[in-house]
Amino acid sequence: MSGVQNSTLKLICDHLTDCPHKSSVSKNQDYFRVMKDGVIKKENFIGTAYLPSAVKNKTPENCETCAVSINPTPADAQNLIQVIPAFRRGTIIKLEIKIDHGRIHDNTTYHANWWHPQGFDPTTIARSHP
Amino acid sequence: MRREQELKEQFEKQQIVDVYIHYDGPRAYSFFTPDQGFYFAFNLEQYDEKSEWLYIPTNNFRMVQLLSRAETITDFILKSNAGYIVEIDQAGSITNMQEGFAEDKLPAASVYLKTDDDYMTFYLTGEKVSPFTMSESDFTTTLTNLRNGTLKAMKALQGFLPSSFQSPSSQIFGTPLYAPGSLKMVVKVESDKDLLKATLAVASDQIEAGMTLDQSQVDEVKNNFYFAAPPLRSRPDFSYDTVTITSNLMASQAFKLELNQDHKRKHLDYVKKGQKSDDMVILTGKVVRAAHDKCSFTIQNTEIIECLLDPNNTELINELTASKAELQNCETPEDIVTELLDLKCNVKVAGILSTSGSTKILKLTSALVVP
Repeated sequence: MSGVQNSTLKLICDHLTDCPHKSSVSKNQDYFRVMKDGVIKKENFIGTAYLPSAVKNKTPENCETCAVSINPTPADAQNLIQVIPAFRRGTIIKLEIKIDHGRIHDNTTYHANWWHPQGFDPTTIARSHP
Repeated sequence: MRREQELKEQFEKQQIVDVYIHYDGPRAYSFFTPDQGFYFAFNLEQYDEKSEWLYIPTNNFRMVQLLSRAETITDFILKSNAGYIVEIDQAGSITNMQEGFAEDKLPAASVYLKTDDDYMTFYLTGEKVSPFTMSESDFTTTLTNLRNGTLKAMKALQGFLPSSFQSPSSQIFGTPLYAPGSLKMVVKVESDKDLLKATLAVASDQIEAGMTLDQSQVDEVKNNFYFAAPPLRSRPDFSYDTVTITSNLMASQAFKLELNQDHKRKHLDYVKKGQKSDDMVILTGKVVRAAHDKCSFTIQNTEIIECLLDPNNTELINELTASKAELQNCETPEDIVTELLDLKCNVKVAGILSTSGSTKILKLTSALVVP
């Protein structure tokens, strides 16, 4: 697990200033994510700001809402499924994230924001988690 | 029907206060409505074209219960007086709303709200803790003390304040300290950090940053903020550790004051120090004796303290009688002393403490009957 800065990537948030946050890093680390409908598809890796959903009304486009939420551990992802009814039918997938896969900001112990590169298909690094 | 329409309009104009769970957007959060309603929002369903939420009317204390994990999420919801299941479209408009708790979608009974963000925000509007005033709690006592401390501080600062503070339109707490709607209080739950010193430093730094003051004035402000600590005998019935109050003194100046439970110990130290030399103290205790001839009553705090009521101090007498209905029929200060003993009530007193032999005597400058 190494934390390095990778400034050559074109990220999904590059049109925003000061984004990703300076404290974000590129690193090799497995993360986890809840697929709310249980399906691994590209559409499930879009930042809130770009979702055609009502959630975006509460979160206008900014650095955070361009990011995709991920969890450091499967237990954190499981907790989300248990707590938030909208995710109760969700399944957990593992993301084998490498330094070329964008920038990550661990903003709490159980949640991180991930800004992945433009044109990158996150499903290529997604694995089913038992 | 009209009420429902009004509620919908209020919900659509909601302002998020704290986000407790964020996952591709807020999933559990609190919000205010323009009419000062305060709600907990919980994401029930999420579709591409719409989302479904449960809005639970709440208050600051109920949120502390939830965030300190004294209650499970489901208990918290089902104990509420009302719940609204709200469907929101892509434009943020409410397309459907019905009363209910969506019991079939709630988390298992044992699930607590787990959040790293171990704080919650209180907004104060006017003289109230929005959205409800919690009169019985120590938190309110803290606020009252804060108000008193602030008033004293402001009195001390009179003449030193920039003219913008004198604007009658910027009054909260009855003082021209805070800009309207700008006061924010954050309570940190279960933290062991002692922030008092840092806080006082911040407060005085901020005050000093905007004004030219004598050191004695700054010291007086510090001392008065010290009195904003909860009274010695307070027993908070919920777990909070730090209270942060932030506000804008002016557009360019921030004010920040933090209090925590460690204040009780420090306050006690301060009072003890004050007992060695005459000093101003604020105490809360039960009236246990009264003496007509000296126009005094005795309270039991950590010690027995005799409180001298100056019959000529009409401001003090008025303040005391206004705090309890039964006292308002008293015709003389002596009657008040008698009635206080009969009521066996708790009083919060402030004044100059001195020692005479083994007796602690408090010459009152302020006195209130408290619950």
